[in-house]
Amino acid sequence: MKDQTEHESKQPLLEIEGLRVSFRSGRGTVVAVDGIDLQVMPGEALGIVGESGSGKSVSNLAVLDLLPKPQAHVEAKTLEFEGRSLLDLPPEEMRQVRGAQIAMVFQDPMTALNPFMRISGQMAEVLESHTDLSKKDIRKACVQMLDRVGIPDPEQRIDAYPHEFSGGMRQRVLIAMALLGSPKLLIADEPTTALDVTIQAQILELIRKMKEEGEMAMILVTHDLGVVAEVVDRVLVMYGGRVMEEAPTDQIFLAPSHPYTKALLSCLPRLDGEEERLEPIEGNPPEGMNRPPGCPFEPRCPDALDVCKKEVPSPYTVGEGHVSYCWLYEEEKSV
Amino acid sequence: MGPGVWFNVWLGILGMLALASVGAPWISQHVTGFHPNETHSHMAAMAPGVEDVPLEYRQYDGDPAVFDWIDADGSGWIECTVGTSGSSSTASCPELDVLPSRFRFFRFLFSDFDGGTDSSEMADGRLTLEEYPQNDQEIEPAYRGLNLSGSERFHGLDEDGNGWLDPSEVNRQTRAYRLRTAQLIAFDTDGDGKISRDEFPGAPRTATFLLGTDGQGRDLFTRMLFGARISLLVGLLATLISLLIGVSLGALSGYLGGAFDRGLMAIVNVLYGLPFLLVVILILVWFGRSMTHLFLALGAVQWLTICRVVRGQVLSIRQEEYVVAAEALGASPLRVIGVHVLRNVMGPVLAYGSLMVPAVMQEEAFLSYLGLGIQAPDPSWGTLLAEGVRRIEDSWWLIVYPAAVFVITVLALYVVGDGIRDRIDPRQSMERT
Repeated sequence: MKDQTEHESKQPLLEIEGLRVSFRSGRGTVVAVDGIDLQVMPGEALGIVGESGSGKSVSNLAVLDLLPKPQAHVEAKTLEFEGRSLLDLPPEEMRQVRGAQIAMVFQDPMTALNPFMRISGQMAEVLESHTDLSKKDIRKACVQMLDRVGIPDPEQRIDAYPHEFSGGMRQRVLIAMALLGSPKLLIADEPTTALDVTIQAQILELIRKMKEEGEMAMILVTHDLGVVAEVVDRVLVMYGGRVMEEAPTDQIFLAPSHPYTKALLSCLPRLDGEEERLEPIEGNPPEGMNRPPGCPFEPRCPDALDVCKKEVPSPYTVGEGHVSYCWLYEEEKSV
Repeated sequence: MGPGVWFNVWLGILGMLALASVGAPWISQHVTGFHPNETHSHMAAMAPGVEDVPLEYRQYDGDPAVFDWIDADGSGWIECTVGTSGSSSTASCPELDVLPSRFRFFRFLFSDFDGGTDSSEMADGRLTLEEYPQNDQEIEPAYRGLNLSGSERFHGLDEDGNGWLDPSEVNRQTRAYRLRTAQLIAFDTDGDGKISRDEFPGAPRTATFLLGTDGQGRDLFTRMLFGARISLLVGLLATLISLLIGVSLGALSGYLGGAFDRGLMAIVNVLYGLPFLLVVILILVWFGRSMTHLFLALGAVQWLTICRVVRGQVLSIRQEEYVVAAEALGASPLRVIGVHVLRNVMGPVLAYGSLMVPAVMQEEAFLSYLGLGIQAPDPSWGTLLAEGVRRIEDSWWLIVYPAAVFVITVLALYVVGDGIRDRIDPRQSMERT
């Protein structure tokens, strides 16, 4: 927690306040992200945890302005990177941010590489877009980067097509591509979901190593609490397009404050302690089209109050750097 | 045989077709010997394989023995000189000038010598060695010194070697009389003024109507060569034009979306509703019938489908994660559309384009059949098929050969197009190796 206090004195690298993303479709408007706040400090690793449809991927794509244009509608009170607003940035300047300032690693390495292009061409694209390096220097840099991410025999492998790599190797290539522009912030969107368990550990280890070597900040999006425990400093729990709880990683596991986080943790099998039945969360996540006006978790929440149905809870500080968005803490205060 | 072998076979066929159509003028000049529009009225509607003697040889059937008869002094070559008088050149072959007297000698050979000079024997139509003049003293002074008398000459004339000459054996020699100086001098290939035995053609160079002739005595094979030239050209150019329009508009429509997309698709749908033939006919009537207008008209109609195909592909490829990934790493829109999107659209575009070439060729054939396409006398496969259909009852070859080549071409284009589409996908070529 010493790092934490150090970070607080600095300006946040990425600051988001009141981010709202909605999609217009023929049948109506779907709200995917409903007002989230988050901050990433330089060099910090933030984990965003949530189940499918909680809005974690969409909010990251919104940061880079990568959502399909006419359908997606993005608004925010603040969306700043290094103090500069990313909202309404001209397309060309936005392009320079992507890859060079903020890079992204996608979920499925099987589809995130163009099957018709050699790895060399796809990697070179990053440097061609952001630097004036000569073809030779670009190739050299790419080979070095492949070596760094642990691709054996990079001189030869760089001229291979994506289908000639295994899934884990492709994810290494994608990480190498993301790191080529030496970004200040790396967004990894479920980088291990599509991989075998053994490969997952290797890739996580690689990401952690790269983050430390490159002194980057990182947002790790995942639905796997185990991944979070290993890599990140701070965790944001999302559900139904909203933040439920924000806490330092150990606090999430030791002292979860939000009923949703508690429910999530009781879904996990434990290696220590006695055997107990896993508790699934009853019910289904809210649909984007008809969202409850109050807390999105209210219909499934075992501790729901009357107020939860009507009003969205405000953040309550329950510990150092530990914030919970739950009406239960309003009650505690009043009691 | 794997699929690769068949691909190569069809690629070879297509290559040969392309070569034949490109080299059609050369082939018609040096191999077939016919011009595609040259009529041989005496050879109308002849079945495949008949021969015709080219004009310059028609006076002479090329018997090598004729050489000896012209070579009056027995020197082994015939002297011909080309001189210039004023602006025009004149040629003369002195030995040809004595041919008339030699001809006359043979003409009267039987009346003069059959039965002996002293009429001691009966004239029996057979000229024996005894009756034949033994030396120049026995013949009239006009024929002396022309190497006509003697037993050696007799045996040269007696081709069947039965010991006597009959009129037909003698008459054979008179054919050389019809040779003209201009024809003779044409044989002097090295231009040294002497025609040697080697230069003298041993046999007339006849040209064969390989696949027969059409109703006007034109060589079908040569016309098919030139037809392939025109048909393939129309097919390729019209396809290129429609690919150019279709791919660029389709890609823009899919990438830009919005009002541009809706407007363009509305136009495409309206054009789809119009009968395509009507549009082509309008263009051809308005701008005039010519080959350029024909493939412009065909290309202008064909782009609709390719435009839709490309738009759909671009729409789906835009959603692919690697396109978003490229954007996320800062690739410019032009790069994304040019490198990532269009590259992945090429598969279906090539597959469709390879099918469009034969389709356009069929449309060209159809329009030419109606008289709107290629104009007579120029051949295209359409006009050839049209004539073939008209004469199907009496000249089967006129429909069978053009149709067979047409079918083979369409098939080859289909197989090769399919093969190329497979080959440009690195994943599939991996499976093949």
